Amino acid sequence: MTLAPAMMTNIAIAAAAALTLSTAWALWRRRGEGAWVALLQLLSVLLFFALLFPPHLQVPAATLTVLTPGATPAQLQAVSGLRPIVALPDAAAPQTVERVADVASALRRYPETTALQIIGGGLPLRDQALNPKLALGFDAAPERGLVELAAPARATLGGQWPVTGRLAPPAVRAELRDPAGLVVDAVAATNSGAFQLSAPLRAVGPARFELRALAADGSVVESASVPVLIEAGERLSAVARLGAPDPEFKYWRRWAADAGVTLGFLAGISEGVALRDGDAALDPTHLTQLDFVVIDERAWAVLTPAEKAALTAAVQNGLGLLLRINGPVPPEVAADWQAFGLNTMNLDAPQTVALDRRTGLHERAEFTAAPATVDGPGFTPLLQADDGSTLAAWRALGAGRVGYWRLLDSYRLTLAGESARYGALAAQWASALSRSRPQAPQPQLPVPGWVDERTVLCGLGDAAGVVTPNGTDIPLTRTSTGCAAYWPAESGWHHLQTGADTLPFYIRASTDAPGLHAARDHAATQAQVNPALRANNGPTRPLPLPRAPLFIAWLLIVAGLWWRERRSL
Amino acid sequence: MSAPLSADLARALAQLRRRAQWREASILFALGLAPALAEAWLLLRVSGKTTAAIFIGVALVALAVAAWRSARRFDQHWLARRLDARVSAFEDSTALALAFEAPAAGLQQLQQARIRSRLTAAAARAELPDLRPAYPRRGFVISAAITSVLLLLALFWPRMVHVDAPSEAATAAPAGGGQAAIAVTLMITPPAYTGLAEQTVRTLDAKAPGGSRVRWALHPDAAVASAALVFHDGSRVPLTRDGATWRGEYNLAASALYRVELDGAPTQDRLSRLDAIPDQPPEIKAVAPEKTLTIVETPLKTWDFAFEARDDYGLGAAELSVTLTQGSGEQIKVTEQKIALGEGGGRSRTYRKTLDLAALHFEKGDDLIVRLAVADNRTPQPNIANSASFILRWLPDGASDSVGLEGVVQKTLPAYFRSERQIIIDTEALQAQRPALAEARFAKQSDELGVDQKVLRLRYGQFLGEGFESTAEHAPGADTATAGASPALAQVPGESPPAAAPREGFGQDQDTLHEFGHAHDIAEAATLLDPETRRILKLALNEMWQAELHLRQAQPEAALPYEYKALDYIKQVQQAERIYLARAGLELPQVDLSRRLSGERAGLIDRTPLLPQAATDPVIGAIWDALAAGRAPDTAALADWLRQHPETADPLAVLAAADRLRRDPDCALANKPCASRSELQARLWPLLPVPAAAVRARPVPDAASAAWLDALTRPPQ
Repeated sequence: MTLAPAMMTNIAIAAAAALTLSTAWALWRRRGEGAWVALLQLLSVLLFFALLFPPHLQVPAATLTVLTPGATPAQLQAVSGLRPIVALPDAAAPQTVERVADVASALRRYPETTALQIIGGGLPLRDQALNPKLALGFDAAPERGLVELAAPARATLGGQWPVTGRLAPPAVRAELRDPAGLVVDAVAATNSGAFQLSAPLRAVGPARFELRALAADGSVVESASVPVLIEAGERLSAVARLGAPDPEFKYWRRWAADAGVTLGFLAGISEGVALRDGDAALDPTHLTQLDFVVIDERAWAVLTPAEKAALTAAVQNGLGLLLRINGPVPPEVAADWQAFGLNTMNLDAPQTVALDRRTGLHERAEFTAAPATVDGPGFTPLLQADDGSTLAAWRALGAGRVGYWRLLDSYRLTLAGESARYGALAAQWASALSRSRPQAPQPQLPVPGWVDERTVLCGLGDAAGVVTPNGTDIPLTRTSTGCAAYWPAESGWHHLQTGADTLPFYIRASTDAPGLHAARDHAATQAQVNPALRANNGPTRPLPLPRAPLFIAWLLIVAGLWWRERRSL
Repeated sequence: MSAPLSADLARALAQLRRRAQWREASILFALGLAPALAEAWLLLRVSGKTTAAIFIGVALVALAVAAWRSARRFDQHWLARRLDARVSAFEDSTALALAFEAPAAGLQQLQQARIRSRLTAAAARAELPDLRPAYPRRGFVISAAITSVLLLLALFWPRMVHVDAPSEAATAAPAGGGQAAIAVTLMITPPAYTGLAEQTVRTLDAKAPGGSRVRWALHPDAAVASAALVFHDGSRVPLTRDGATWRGEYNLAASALYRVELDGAPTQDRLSRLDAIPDQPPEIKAVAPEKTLTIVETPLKTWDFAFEARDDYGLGAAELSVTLTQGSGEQIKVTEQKIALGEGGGRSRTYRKTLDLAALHFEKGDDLIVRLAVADNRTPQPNIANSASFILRWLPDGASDSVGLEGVVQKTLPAYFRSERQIIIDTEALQAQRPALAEARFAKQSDELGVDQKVLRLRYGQFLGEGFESTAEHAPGADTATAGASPALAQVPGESPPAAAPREGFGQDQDTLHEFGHAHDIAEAATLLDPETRRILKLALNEMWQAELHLRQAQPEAALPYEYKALDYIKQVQQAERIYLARAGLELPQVDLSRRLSGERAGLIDRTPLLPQAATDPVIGAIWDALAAGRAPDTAALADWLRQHPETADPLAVLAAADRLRRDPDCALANKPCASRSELQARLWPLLPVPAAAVRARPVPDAASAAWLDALTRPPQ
């Protein structure tokens, strides 16, 4: 029906009244049994019409209380007297509360509901798409265990992979275990519950780490799988021009050799004497083959104008340039660097900086920053000290990038035994600055979902399918946006196959990371809370009459009329 | 009033009634019981035991009540009616005969008597009819139909399963045996020294102290021809038959994985694990003294100390090793003795001992080092634990200010005092040149050497402070050019050195200084020498004085022995407190003196790999790659590697995972995902070496990002 139910009801009632009155007057004129028959026939017609288009009654609106998994006993106690009240599956509700399969079936049972009051952890994924016209109130259960977890889903081999998150009481410690179950890193959470852990990545492929949230007495509050897909690196080529060799360069060169970077360098030693290895020329043809170039401020001072011009042109064409600052920048070098967008300002002395909070070191280590700061528009910081000062940053210049590095002794990380962290830092800036390479478009990995819940995979090509841990092949139906939905029935590593590539992604078991699950539901339900609608709806809502009694009444009347006819035969 | 019935008749009639009642009740029960039972079974399957029990109870009660109520139907009236209906001889007057009402007229009395007599006669002849109601055939058919329907429903009703676990099945490892169920008893006898009792377990996995003897008693279900235990390293323990039981024995030295083999075929998929709990060495805690280094300056008579030792099974012998070092520098004498502190016993003990320092000849300048060694009672070889060493040091005299300032005090003389050797060389050269030189020139050169020797002596003398005086006696027969000065020298100790010698050669300004005053510029150096060094230095200076004497007298051959002795003393002073350390690790290539400083670059090779390749262990990496590619890993290489790296945590778990992978039929196919393969891969993770952080180039920005970047960098129009 295109008209509103209330309008329909009014029309129907008016028509029925008119017809009834006119027929009654006509029959009254005639009188006799036939009048009764005619009246009954009219009534049957009206009932049939009401059966097809049931009139609406205005009933007072009701708030349906829905108990969701995660409701605390205190909350249950508070709502024990409210009616109507339903409980979703897995909610710890007393026996007297009615159980429904989901919110949709609850709304069918209580059609006069205009507002929902959700008690507990939040609506599960299947119920989160609610009718926006319903008012929603949410009485959230306090969060417990691991509530936030952030870790890169993809990482390169050998670096220190960071895992951060937040714990809620009773969990106070976080422990990261490698795929074999041995503890790699453990830390106590801060006052706000935030923690920062890291682990070195030892081999290429999918790996599943485990994060355990521990209470103060050491018992396990919950454990969560943290999956990561580790990729191998690529071979880059670089040139370094330095004023003098120093330990920073020594350890960086060691890392570059181990990471597969082809390095040519020229380091000055004295007047007319330099240390050279490989091809360190800065002519245009060589620069087109390089991925990035590292230059000192002292080496810049001895560059020829041709080399400087070649460098500038190469950066515009896509080369990465890292300007290392080891000391006060001479004015002519500073003038040259202004063309790149770096405004240097010399300081009196090198500064001592601490990096433990930013890089997640567990011991306090002191580093030295060069006595020159850099300012400029458009810089993205690469490394910041604990006090917020920028130690390294980059900016785009044409197709390439220019960056600066102010930290004098990041090699102390290697001396302290954190060579993985040092390598990760070096790889981070090399990767940020290097020349861009075309890569095949990768599908988007979903955020780890849970078993029996819908996950969405995007960025798919044709003929996409998923291989479950059991070996079953499941084809995916792709929408026009390139996304497909998938309902995993098992936990573990599922493999997404698009064309020739296989991409593993992890699905969590239902007991895995319950705190994260609850936090997700909590956030989704909180986002849907809208109390303001309640005022618009008013205290009543139209309720259609149930059809079954109308049908029975109509059937009885028609049957009686039929019987009368038959009897008179 | 009519006469009562005769006893026989009454009994007979009552019997008729009773039989009918029983028949009725039994019919009722027969009809109702079977469906009720069937319904109860259906309820058991549908709702559970309580509902079924309640239903049965209610049904039985209802049947009983129904039976009782129907039995009440069979009363005297019914009897009379039935007798009338069945026996025509009773002329429909049985009710009258049974005297329900008193007869009013004489005819009725007559009839009553007549029928009664007939009744009695029939009862006496046992000809009363059988009044029991017939079994209703239709009723039974209906009852049977209902019962069968209920039975069918009960049989095929889907069983209600209580699902309280989440949708996936728990993948717990199957406990105990696999295909063939074997009853097994393990008797574990721990070693005698542990004092533990023998334990019996009924599973194949066990934990026992290392060195225990494990005895198996297997009871296989079926008769087998041979049985053996196969261990993870390949060794076999064949079992011997003893009646229906198979027995075997094994000495558990280290943790092991094993599997039972019956008739050559293994019975389980999973390896069973025997954990050997190692015997830990004792733990020693020192109660007294608290510090490891105790310094005393006053004589000490006794030194007492107390140690607490604890062991997991029992302590053995304890021994105190006392080392006394006497002397200093290179002349250190070390004596060592061991004092037994008693035999063992118990799991924790406190050892107390008081050392008598006088009996040990502990004197000033000595060090006493004491260490406790406690063994536990492990039988083949006890584990010995050593405590920390406790040092008692009695500081020698004059060293009190240097104890804490070892870096500041200069105990050795600087190395530039080597010109004494040069003087010797020059003296020998001069002596060799003597035949070629003129007499005057020879004497002049010798004198110059003497001046050098004097300057050296004065330089050394400055280290002793200006208080030095050459108190050496003259050699007999030494008539020198400075003979006039020497008696003055001999007479006046404590004065400045002779100033009468001709001032030639170098060192003139120094002599002026000595002539007119004292040089105090290195006075502080003088007081830093210890007395022993001073004494030797004085001797050296005496020798130098003698040498100078003879050199000045143009007698180098006489001066030479004195020079040698002076050098000897100087070397003693230099080397007195020196510690010799071998220089290691630096093997420089030999210098090619012919090419040195010539500037030739021919033949120089570029030492390309300037950086040697990082040494990595390829075994585990190769196994990881094989697993990732889906190939079978090299299990033998893995076992070898684990054996060579005993520091691995839980190598048996890795071996068990490798074995599981080998036996898993799913994993034979390369492309099929396999839980055992990923489990072994996971176990290999901590064994892999950490590679250097790899680097990836950044991706080319897509169309939207490129347009954005272009817009940002385009100069504003």
